[in-house]
This record gives sequence, structure tokens and C-alpha cells, in this order.
Amino acid sequence: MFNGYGTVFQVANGMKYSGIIGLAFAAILILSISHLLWGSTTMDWGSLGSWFGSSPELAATVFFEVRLPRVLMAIAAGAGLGISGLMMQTWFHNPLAGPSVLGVTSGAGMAVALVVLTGMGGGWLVNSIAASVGSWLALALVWGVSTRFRGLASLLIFGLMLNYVLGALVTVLQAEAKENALQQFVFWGMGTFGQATLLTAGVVMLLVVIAIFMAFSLHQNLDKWTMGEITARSMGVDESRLRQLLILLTGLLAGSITAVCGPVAFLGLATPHLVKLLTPHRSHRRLIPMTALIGALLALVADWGVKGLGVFEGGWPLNAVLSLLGAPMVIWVLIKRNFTHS
Amino acid sequence: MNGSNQHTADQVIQASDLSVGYHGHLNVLSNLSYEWKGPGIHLIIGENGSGKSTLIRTLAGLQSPMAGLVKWNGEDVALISSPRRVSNMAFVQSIPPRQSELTVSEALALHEPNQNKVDDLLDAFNLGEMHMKSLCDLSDGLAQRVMLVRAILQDTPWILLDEPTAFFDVKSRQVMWSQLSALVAKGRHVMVSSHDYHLLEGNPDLMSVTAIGADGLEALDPAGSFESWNASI
Repeated sequence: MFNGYGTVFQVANGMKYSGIIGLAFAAILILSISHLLWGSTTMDWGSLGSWFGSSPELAATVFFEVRLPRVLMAIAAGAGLGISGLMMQTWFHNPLAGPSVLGVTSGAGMAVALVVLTGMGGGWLVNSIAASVGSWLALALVWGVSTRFRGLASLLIFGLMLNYVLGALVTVLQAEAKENALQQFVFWGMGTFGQATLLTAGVVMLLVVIAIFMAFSLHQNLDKWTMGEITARSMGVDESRLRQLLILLTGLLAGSITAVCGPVAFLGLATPHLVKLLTPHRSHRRLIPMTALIGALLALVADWGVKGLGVFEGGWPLNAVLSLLGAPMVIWVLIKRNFTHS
Repeated sequence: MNGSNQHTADQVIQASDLSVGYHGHLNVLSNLSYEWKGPGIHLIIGENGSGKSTLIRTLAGLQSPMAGLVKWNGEDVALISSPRRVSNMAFVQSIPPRQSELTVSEALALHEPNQNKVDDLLDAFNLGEMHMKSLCDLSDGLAQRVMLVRAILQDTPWILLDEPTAFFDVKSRQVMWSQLSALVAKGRHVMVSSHDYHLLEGNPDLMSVTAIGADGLEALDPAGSFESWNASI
């Protein structure tokens, strides 16, 4: 297999790591501010004071209940899904692994469908617990069978089949569901950062920060793991512990994010590849912080697509925007990489 | 990483009533009792499929025995803590990593933060130009050289190499043997498994030669010719 990211971004390759980190931070900040200022009701710096002055209650509502949670949620979801994708790609030695590809997101989705469509749930906490349990179950299944597969394609095909089965079960549930529960579920399924409240966005953000620190604490073990199971073991990696921590971490990330945002496509899969385009570093000490930042950045960019592209007031569904952004990127990775080697 | 006195002291790997293999399969080798002791090169020879790899992994403590014990200096390997294993034993697999995107520098920095030390060794293996390349972009032969450098940097009394020369050209082999000789001169213990038993015939660093035959392990004279073993199979 070839690394295959080539010299497309020579400028970025020549740049110092800290420079790229700084730029990403700046871009996240600028995008966040733009999201906070612009929306269906525009706030700009000049009129901000008067706007708050004329109807402070509305302004505060828009700011604290709509825009701020949405921005925080986009940042948390992008960073969290990016990290979860990176962890899965590293663990499975598979560049096309990711929470949505391997059925983890569908597992969460299926569990949420179960509680929402049968009328048991709908609340944030119940959905979150269901989504986390669902993603852990899907992960355990993928993890369990992964040792039986050789080659990159088998695991991906298993993920595809798992997605089909879970999707089928969801449609069965949908067929049986009441109309308002169904509508709620369909909107959830399109994916959005806009349903977050300050509380849910805050909780997910906290979980994401914890998960990033957890992943970072494993950076040496993850590097060793890339060299194969036997070599990693000879370098002191306890693989069952690493596996448990990675299941906990990816399940927590995919579950909590999916519960609030719906099944978000492509961020987990595509973010690590974009990171590898931007930097020649491949150690997890470098990849983890960059993946978190670039994931957040991608999510904020995609959310501009959601807000800006709509013919109707609602804009385009998040998953439509992400798929249009993410799919060409993945195809490009496929073309650049030489899969015949593996 | 270790005190140098640990390297010069004689180290022993013992197999007692050892059976090796994989769960759910027949044992590859059964009831082995043997001892590998002292600095130098210990060669394990056997045909393809004879169980060399399984044996050397089990001796390295990377695979559990099906029965019996592996002991390092009298201690059951299964009971030795992971950090102590890492400081005792470096291992190079027969197949280099083909999936790892780590650059050569990043892979080696896992053992040795001192870049100068790394560069010296890379130069010795003609890998000086390679340190920003990803392991998966290197040819098998080059990647295997990097893994050998990695094992040397792990700085352990024992280095175990499973079929190390499979991907090496003539020049790489020469470099490898001279580097291993240098390690032996420092009192290190090297164990090599190979089906290519002519490889080390007459090598002055040979400490022991163990042949895997139909009846288990057979000790050959390291100073002699291995043809007699060849004739017996």
C-alpha cells in the first residue's frame, strides 16, 4: 500500500506543525464567529448593540439557544467523529474504516429508532444512552468478527452488510411507527447540529475533550500498533487493553454525537485523510490534535453549506452536504492509494 | 535503556516440556526441552512449515505455549511484566509492516529519542535518505532493514529474528551480519530462525545451532557443517 498523499500540498508540507495547528485554530475561530453572527436573523458587530437593545430577549434567545449550541455542537461532533475515525483506521489497519462505514453509526441509529419509534424515548438522555449502547453493540460485533477477516475489503463489506441489516430493521420500525414519531425520526436521520441545546452540546463537548485526552494518552501504543500485532506486542503493547479502551472511546464518541446530531456521514472517514494531506507527520502525537482541529473545521464548513445552500428556509440536510464533500475525497484517496499491495 | 552489565552477563532462554502451536490446531512442536545460553548467535534451522516461527515467537514470549514453560533466566516468561519484557527482548517478524504509515524517523523515535544515534545506525544500513518516508512506501527489503534498526535501538540483551534475510539482497545480508557481529562483540544474544542453513556456516559468532527435525530439536556442532542434518531429513 502506498501512503499516496503525494506532494499535492507541498506548501503545507513545508510548513511547521505548529503553523498548521495555529492556522486551523484561527480558521475555527473565524468560522465560529461567522456562524454566531450570521443566520436567518443577522447580527453584525455594528448593529449588535442596538439589536440587543431593541429586543434583548430575542437576541439572547437566538444567541444562547440557537447559535452558540449549534457552533459548539459542530465543533464537538467534527472533532469527536474525526478522532473516532482515526482510531478505527489505526486499529483495523484500514484507511477506509470509520464509524459510519463499519456500522457503528447505524448501530446507534437503530437503537435510537427503537426508542423513538416505539414511543419509549425522544428525550435527549434516553436517546444518548440508547445510541451509546447501540454503537457499542455494533462495535463489539465488528471487533469480534474482524479477526476472522483477511484483507481490507472483507471488513468493509461486513460493515456494509451490517449497515443494510440495521437499515432494514429501521425501515421495519418506521413502517410500524406513529406519524409524529416517524417525522421526528426522519429529521433526526438527516443529521443536524441545529437540534443541540446548550446542555447537550456542552455534555458532548465534555465527552469529546475527555476522549481526545484518552486517545492522546495512547499515542505511542497506537504508533506501535500500526507496525502489526506481533511487533506491537514485542514493543510492550497490551492489545486487549488497547482494544477495550478504543471500543470505549469510539463507542462513546459515536454514540453521544449520533444521539444529538443524528447519523452524521463522512466526517469520521474523511477527516484523517484530509489531515494526512496537510501534514507529513504520521505519529499519533501529531495526528490526534490535528484530526480534532480539522474535524471541527470541516464540520463548521459543512454547516455553512447547510445554512447557505437552502432554497427553502431550512437549507440542505447536513448529510447531503457532507456526502457531497466527503465522497469525492474518499474516491480520491482510493485512486491515490495502491490497494493491490494489500 | 539497560545497564551494560546486564548485557554482558550470560542470558538463558529455556524451554521445558514446551509444546507450541495455535489453539484449535494440532501442536506444531511438542515436548521440547532445550536451553539457549550465552552471548553470540543462536541459529534455529528447519524446513518451511517446521514450526520455526511459532517456536521463536513462543520463546520471545509473544505467543502462549500450548503446554510447558518458557523461562528467561529461570523466570516463567508468562509472569514477567510487559516493561521488563520490552527491556529484555527485541523481536523482528519475518514480514515487514506493510500497513504502517509512520515515517522511518517516527517509528525509530519510539525507542530512541536521540536523533544522532538513530542517524548513525540508519547510515550503517544505507537508510540515510529514508527517514521522512513512510514505512508502507518502502520496499519489503528496506522496511525490514528499518525493523532491524528498530530492534537494535530497543537495546536489549536478546534480539530474536524470524527469517530475517528473506527480503534482503546480498549487500543487506552482509550489513546485517556485520551489525549483529558488532552486537555480539558487546555481549548481546542473538537468535535467528532460518531455513537457509548455509547462511551462517563457519560464522565465528555462532554459539549454537538447533535443527528442528522429525524428532524435535537436535543440537548441531556450530563449528561443523550442517550437511549431516540436511542428509537426515
